[in-house]
Amino acid sequence: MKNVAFVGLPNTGKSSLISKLTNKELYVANFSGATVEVRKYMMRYHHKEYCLMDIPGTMDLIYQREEEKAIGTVLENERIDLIVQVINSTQLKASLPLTLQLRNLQIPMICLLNFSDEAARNDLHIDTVKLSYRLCVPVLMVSAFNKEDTQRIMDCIEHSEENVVYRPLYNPETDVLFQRYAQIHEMKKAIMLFESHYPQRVLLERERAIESCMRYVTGSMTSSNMKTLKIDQFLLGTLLGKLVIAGSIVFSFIVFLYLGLLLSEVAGSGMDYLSDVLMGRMNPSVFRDFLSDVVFSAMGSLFSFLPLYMSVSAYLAVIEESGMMARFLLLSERMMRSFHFNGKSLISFMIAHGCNVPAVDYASTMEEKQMRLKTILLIPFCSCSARLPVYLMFASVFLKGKAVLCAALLVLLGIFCVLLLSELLECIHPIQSSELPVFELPVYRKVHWHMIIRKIMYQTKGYLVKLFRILFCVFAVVFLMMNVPVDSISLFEWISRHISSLYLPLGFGESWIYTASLLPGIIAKEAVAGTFVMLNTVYPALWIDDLKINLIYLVYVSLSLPCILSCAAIKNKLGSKIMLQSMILSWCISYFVSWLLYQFIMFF
Amino acid sequence: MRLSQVRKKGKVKIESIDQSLKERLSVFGIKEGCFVFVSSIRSCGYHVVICDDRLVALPYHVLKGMTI
Repeated sequence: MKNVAFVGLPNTGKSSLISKLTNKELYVANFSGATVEVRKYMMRYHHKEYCLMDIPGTMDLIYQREEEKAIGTVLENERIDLIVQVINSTQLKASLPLTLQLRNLQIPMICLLNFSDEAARNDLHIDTVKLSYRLCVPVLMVSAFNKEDTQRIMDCIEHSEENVVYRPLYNPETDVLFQRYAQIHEMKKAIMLFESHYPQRVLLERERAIESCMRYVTGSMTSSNMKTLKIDQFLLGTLLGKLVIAGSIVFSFIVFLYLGLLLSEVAGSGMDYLSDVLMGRMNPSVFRDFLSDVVFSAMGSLFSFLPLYMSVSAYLAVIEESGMMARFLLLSERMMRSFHFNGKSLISFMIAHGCNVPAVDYASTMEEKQMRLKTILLIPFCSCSARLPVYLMFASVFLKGKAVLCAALLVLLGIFCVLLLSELLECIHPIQSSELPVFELPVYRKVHWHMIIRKIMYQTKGYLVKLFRILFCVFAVVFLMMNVPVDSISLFEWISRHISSLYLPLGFGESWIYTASLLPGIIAKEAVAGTFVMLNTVYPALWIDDLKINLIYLVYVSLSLPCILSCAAIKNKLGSKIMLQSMILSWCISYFVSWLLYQFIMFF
Repeated sequence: MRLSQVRKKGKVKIESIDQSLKERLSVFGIKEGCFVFVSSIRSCGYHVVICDDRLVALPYHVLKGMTI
């Protein structure tokens, strides 16, 4: 098996190329740092096994940020047979220092000049034959969107030489000096010693080598960059432009969210109809009940969640691909730093108000590990769209015309908790300086529809089976709880009655139907309202006719445990330990805030 | 002259960079002796420059650490 490491600067399309070669959907984006960990993908080509390693963007082999150290770990611990350096054709000069460093490793390598289509659009021509001759490395012009390039890349990988010796690209005078080292030591050691003895000369030679390579490039990205600058002049340089960026980001989110909710409604109704038709033809039996309450309920939950998830993924893909995301991150960075977050946290929290699951997915692309952890832990406090029906249902009973205001206040309470907890976490364990980071802004790109579909497929495929399995298990447990009798009542009711004593300090523990409604909320938050209505119809006497108690119940629901899908997403990205911590944190906070509010209300 | 004092857009040569910033900036291709195109875009604590065909947004404290 051949181990092939895909290396390159951030945002050069490594994941896109691997996705194309392996026919697997990977997470790709038009901003730096979309890949945050080394991922391996197995594939066969001409009866040979290949392991393609997707390594997070690396700018330099020596000076590395914490998140860039993955390449060092791979080089130390793995056997690398071939290095494929992916270079953005439009930024060749920026990639060449890394090329020269990689050559020094004496591992066979090839260079793929990606975004050939973008280079062609900008009249940028690179003489790959001469460049290849100069670097002594095979160089290919490719595009992740071109199907024919896949074959060319794989042929090149297949026929790459196994034993190569790369001589440094010094001028004749320096080369003579280097020869003395090369005669005594093996190449790798000779390079190391020579570089440590003549650092200034090597630096100068490297600059010269880069300049000599750049002779094979005609045209430049200046026109494209200037176009981008002109757009940025308005968008970033003026107040109106900033409002346009923020407005378009928020407005497009609302549009995609609305579309997702609409499609979710349709998919949910479709599943209900299908279930009714099929169940209507079956005779009443335990198997029929199981099929209806477990299999179809799990599928119904899954299919009503998927459109929402897919539309949020599509939204992210569109703003990322267009280059708007990077601008929004830049605009929000300073503001978010004052709350001890970064720009990506803001996007995550915004998405979380639609659905927590894609928000967790997006937050997991953050380069800073601790910031990633903090954001993911706080995402469940953002009220997702599934909690809104619960707020509106309860609030409409008591507050009539002010139901929407009540829902809005509960959403604000979630945001307030996020900010407060961030401040507390920062006091306990400071994780970042207030200094703004340096940003690279990608040029504005046309959004390719197939790229969007690919991203959605990547996001969805990974979840489909996993989520169905989780939902199936949870619904099966609920089904058992509903059907197993304990003391002449169902196990579900028995558990609810016993748990309700835990909520006595919050007021609503006096009635077990309030606690019982919380349990299905673990599957999906919408289920809280549905279960409550159902139980209230059967036991109308258990309704607590007190505005204060119901408000506290709403506060508890708004901050309580994330749904099972969010938990699965957290487990998927950060492991079960963090998932457990997140659940405990949100439960404790929701309990504490509700208790505090209860004490405050009862005081007056 | 500090880069943060530059008001007009245009190409400038970076003469020196503070030691603490050298490492951070080298990964964006910004080194001593290189040319950067300074744009007129200043926004939210950032100033956009072009170096090696890449658009880079530099915070003001970084601009202060570079002389031209």
